[in-house]
Amino acid sequence: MTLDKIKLNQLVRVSKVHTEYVPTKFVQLGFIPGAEISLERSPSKNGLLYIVLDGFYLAITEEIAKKIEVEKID
Amino acid sequence: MKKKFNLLLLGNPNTGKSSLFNKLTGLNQKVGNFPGVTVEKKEGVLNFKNNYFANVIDLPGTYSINSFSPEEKIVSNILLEKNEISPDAALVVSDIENLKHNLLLFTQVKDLGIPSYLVINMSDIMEKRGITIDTHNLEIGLKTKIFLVSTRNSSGIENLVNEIPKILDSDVSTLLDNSYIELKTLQKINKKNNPNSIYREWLLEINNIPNVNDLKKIKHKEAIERYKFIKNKLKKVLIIDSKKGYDLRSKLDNIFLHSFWGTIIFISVLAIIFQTIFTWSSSPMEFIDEMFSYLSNYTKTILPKGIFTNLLAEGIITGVGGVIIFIPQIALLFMFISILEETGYMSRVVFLFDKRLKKYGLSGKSIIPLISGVACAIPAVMSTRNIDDWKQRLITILVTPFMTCSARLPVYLILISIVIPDKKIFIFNYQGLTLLGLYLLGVLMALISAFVLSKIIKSNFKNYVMIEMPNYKIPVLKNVLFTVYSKTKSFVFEAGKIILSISIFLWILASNGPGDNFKYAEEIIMEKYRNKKNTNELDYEIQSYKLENSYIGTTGKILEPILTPLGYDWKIGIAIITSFAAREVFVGTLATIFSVGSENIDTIKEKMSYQKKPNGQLLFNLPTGASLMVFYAFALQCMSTIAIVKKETNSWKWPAIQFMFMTIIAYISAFIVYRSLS
Repeated sequence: MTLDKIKLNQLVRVSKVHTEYVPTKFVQLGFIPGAEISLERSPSKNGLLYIVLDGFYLAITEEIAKKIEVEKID
Repeated sequence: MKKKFNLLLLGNPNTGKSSLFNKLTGLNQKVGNFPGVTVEKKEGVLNFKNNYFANVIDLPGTYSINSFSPEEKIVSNILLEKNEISPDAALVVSDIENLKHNLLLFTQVKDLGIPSYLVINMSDIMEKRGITIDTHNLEIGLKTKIFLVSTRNSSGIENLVNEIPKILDSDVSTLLDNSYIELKTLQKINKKNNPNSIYREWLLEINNIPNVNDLKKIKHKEAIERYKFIKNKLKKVLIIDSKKGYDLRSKLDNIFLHSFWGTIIFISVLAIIFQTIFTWSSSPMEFIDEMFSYLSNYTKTILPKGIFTNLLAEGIITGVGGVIIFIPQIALLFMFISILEETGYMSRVVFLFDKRLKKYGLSGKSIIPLISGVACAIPAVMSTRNIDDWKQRLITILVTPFMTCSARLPVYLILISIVIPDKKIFIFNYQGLTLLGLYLLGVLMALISAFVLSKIIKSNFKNYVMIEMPNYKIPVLKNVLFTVYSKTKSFVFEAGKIILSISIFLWILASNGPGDNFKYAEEIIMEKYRNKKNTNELDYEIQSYKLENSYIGTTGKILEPILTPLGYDWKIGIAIITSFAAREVFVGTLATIFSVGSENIDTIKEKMSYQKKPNGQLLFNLPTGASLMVFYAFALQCMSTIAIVKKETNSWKWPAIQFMFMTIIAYISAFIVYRSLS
């Protein structure tokens, strides 16, 4: 699944980043295969996802989240 | 050790880099721009024993040195190219909570072969957040000295300062092997046999790759390799007990990020801020105004009469007063903005408003300048520095002056009281509704213009939204005061020069005139009104006659054919020209033209009410009054705003474009209003 489908209290791991669509800045921030992500708040109407990437709190757009493939961590 | 060396401060945004800069340099700092861009450059001096000192340069916050944003390009250029601030050494500042992400930049700096220390800030919150770190083993892993500091309570700073002189002799060996470099490129670099680090040569080499996607792939590969290295080094030395890490973040976010309550809270915060700015700044502003007025009059009394005295008293002193008078508003606004940023609340505001403003080509961060523009466009334009995306920042700068600033109020109030009937519709007063309408008109035009400009202005750099959501913190007073000090200083010494020059130029135009009418104004008026008016009235008549025959008055008359379609005559033309110094001067100029003291508002109103056009119609009737209000709502009648836009965009091109498009919009709108109501 892609990151935009993540649910509250769900922990996921990045499995693939579509290099051609994801800006370098995001990879340099740590959106790399193996990074763990959780959702801090339910997706808001403003199209932003408030997530925690390996302990780093940030908000990204759904547009970018759709380009990051993740897998659930049990 | 060198007598003087360049010490760069690098770090991700929100790591407390600027706080550390302030701690190291105190008030020994200069704030300016990097050449050719409007990215802020801060330099300061850190003195050691025996006259040794470091020139400390605070670079813009960046996540990496090889990305695409203007800030990152500046950092990259400074690190890679030989220039006057090429680094002799670097302090890379990181935040204990985000160490993993912050270390990417550190490994890059280290691999460039620059003598570096790693400074880990916010050590004061480690216990509270359940964080423990084995600095000894991390120092071995990263081949550097590590300093745990807290810029909040100053712990560890003294130790860091004592160790900085030894930085030039520190280990400069690289951290990563070259596995991320393509063999072909590596062979090319090795052939050059250059003494520089391989990483430096690689960065210079990949800058020549024409295909953006190829370049991205290479950079992604490098980032992945660096994160593998970092993860490996932190595995055993950094322990975070997430159970202990409980804080107020989630609870406060639930309130501040709520689409309805968050908006209500933000509006309330702004209401309090602006109410406070108005209340707290009015007395010092009045004091500054009176002080410069007194100084101007006093200068005239102690110096012999003549051009020099008039230039000093009416041009220079008044001009300097026109700069100083903005300080209370600028200082207060930046105090509040700094507090909002320090607490972490500003990121929540951006989160709330980003999508709403994006429709108009603006950023979530544009909300602060836009609303600040209701108080005054000058601090508002200065506050756009927080907007990362150049295009969004430029659009915000260009449209902020449409917001109804406090200087428009005297113009609106006098015109409304003359041309709008003091009657009610239900419980609403027509005059009150008109004023409200003018405020809304400003907002509407700002949004429409932003939308149009976003379609016209092209930018090569696409900024993808990524909002860092820092933890909530109590602001540090010293940091707030540093921001206030540096912003005020930069306004006074940079925009102030332009404001003063324009003030003097306007004074020269108003104090001199072609032909004999200006030269013999006193004699002509004395002859005309001999024994008919008292001394005060004669003085007002002389001033009025002089202004009419000055260069400004003559220009007003020349402009009359252009102004007639809007319903204005030459007198209004003069008031429009003089009010370029500041909009509120409009009322004072009309007072001079109608030969009354500017303190007699009722008399000015009365005089304005009776003024007639050559065709016998009232000059200030509904069509002309409404046309003038719309003109002032849209025109960039403020030299200080032009000066600050020049300073913030680092060119005359944008203030010139802004002046033109706002004047054209104002003219066309005023024409339509006048014709529709005539």
